[in-house]
Amino acid sequence: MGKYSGIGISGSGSYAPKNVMYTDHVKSIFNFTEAYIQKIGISKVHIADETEYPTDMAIQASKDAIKDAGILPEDINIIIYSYGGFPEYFMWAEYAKIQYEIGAINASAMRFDQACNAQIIALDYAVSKIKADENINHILIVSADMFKEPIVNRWKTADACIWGDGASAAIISRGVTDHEIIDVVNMTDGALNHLWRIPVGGTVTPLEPEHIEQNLFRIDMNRFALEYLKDDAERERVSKRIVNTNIKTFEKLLEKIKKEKSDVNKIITYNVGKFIIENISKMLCVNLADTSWEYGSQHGHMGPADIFFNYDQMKKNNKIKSGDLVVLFSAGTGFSTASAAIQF
Amino acid sequence: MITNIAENGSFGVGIRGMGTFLPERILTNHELSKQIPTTDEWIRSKIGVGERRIADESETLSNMATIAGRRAIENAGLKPEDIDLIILARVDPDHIDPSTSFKVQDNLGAINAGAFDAVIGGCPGSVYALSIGASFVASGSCKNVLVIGGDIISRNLINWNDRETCCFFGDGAGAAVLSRLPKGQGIQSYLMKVDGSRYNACIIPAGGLKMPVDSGNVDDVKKRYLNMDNKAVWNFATTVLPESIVQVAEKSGVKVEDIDMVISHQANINIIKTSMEKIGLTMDKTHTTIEKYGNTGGASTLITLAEAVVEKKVNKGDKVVMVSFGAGLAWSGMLLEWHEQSDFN
Repeated sequence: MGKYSGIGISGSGSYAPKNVMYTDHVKSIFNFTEAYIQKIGISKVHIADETEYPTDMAIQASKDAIKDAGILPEDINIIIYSYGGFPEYFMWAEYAKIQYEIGAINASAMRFDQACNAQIIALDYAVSKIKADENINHILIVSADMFKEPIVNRWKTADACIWGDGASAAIISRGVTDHEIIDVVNMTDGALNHLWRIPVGGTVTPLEPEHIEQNLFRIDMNRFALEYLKDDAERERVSKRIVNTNIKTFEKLLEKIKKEKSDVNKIITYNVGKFIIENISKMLCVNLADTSWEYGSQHGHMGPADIFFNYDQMKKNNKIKSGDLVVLFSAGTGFSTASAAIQF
Repeated sequence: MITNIAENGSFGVGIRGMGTFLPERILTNHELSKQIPTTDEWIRSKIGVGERRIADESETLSNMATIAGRRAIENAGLKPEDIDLIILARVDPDHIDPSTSFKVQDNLGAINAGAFDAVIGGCPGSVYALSIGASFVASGSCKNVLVIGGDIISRNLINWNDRETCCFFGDGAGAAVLSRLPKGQGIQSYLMKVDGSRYNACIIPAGGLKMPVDSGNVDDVKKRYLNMDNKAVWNFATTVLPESIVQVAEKSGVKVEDIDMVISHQANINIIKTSMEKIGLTMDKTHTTIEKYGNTGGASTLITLAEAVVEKKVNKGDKVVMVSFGAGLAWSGMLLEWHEQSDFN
């Protein structure tokens, strides 16, 4: 059907830590109004315990995806890992650790960084790679994130989401016709790279002791965005620009796959606040019940892991049926968007 | 995984243009020997570095990558809006978040390009990123992919009082535009591999979730800078470099003795000499830049190849092998038949 005929998702896996925290239980600590709670709509998040880190969760999700696909770890050719928040160590080969721990002895491994958008760009590469190289049959895409102090306050960092911990994985394989990838679009609006950045710790401003005291080496999207979005007019301008990029991404995808909005049956999105998901579903003329919102509201935003987490949950709970055209959509700081179409 | 790209995919893929950026400031071994117990002679003989370039305070990874990228686009005879995708292979970004490739996209005015950073331990990054970019072009997904490798290693990654690491490295960026060729031409084969059992061989511990930087460790140089198992890296590199050359040549149906140019990651001149000797190739079949620029991480094979092209050591029809290796422990190799810009559509 599309240019990636016979390439699709052969298996998926998701992992959520056992510990749970409800938004209702913390609202008085963080002064959440009822209006805000309704607007965000995320009722709870899962929280990693003291012994769990992103690669631990990623390994679990990967093993589940491999089992779901009915393949062996040694069948995997490439592993693409991503996270949106922070690594476990400043510089290390976490993707190599995952390869080693799951026993994917024949796989190369790497990490893609496109913030919370990384799973769909990884999908874009995976389908291109399988199409271009007859020796490549199975690619593992895996993401994991955890959000903890002193690096981030999961409740107050952003006013568009609440951060949850978790991991997800998908195996993209040759010879799949029931969950076939039709096409992928990714767009970058680099002019917004100054928003939502962590201001210290890279080559622009190396980390110094005073930065620790000033609480600058952390994710705080609200605080740092407000340095640039100084008034309502500027906030409105940037908001419109982001919405336009989102719309263009969908339009480009539909044009590429030669479909109309009315052909889309389900949307799987990243897990931002309800008010954003409602806008996205309205844009594509899909009911909220036909989106991944049910899972987003129970798990919060897990960085790039949202997409295949929601995909796995919807598939396993029979929310997607044969014949459905499913659209994936995510966005990330910097600013990037991506969308993909899957034919069930 | 080793693949023969010429038989698969919709298009051939070649390097249409290249560009580099090296900071102006030079740090010689003599200057370095004033702050650590070493000598120019020791560094030259053991590692092969005579001097290296160091970014000044105003230079950032995105600046360097932008300049190298712009030069590659111009060398390719293209405009920024012709680029469909930017892949930046790096270790240390401008900011921890967002991806530095986005700033590069904005700086270049590459308004039609998607962008992402590929993080493959720094040194393996250049050929890995070329291999990744090649798939986007070969499949038909993209017409022109800009691959940039670079890092400012001198700033946050190494302890300038640690003789085990600081002697090796320099700063820089290299870029290549990958574009379509008729099927069967250009890149003939490539490999991407990792030995995940050695994921800890190169690590910077502090600054992440397991070891956040706080007032107690912010000045702890052992935790804040690169810890590298030099012996493990030597054993690894002198194994995978010659093996990779042989493997990509074999996959392409090329005899090792018919390779025209080997471009190795510039980690250590003795790794290169030992490896070339192992496979029976003389040093005139390789080009090196380690003596001038040190180990520039994910930029090194791109800078070295670009220079070899400018010096006319690489010409149309030449069989060129590139190999990069490093943290992970990961390695990547590629054999391509060199084309001129006029060969591209």
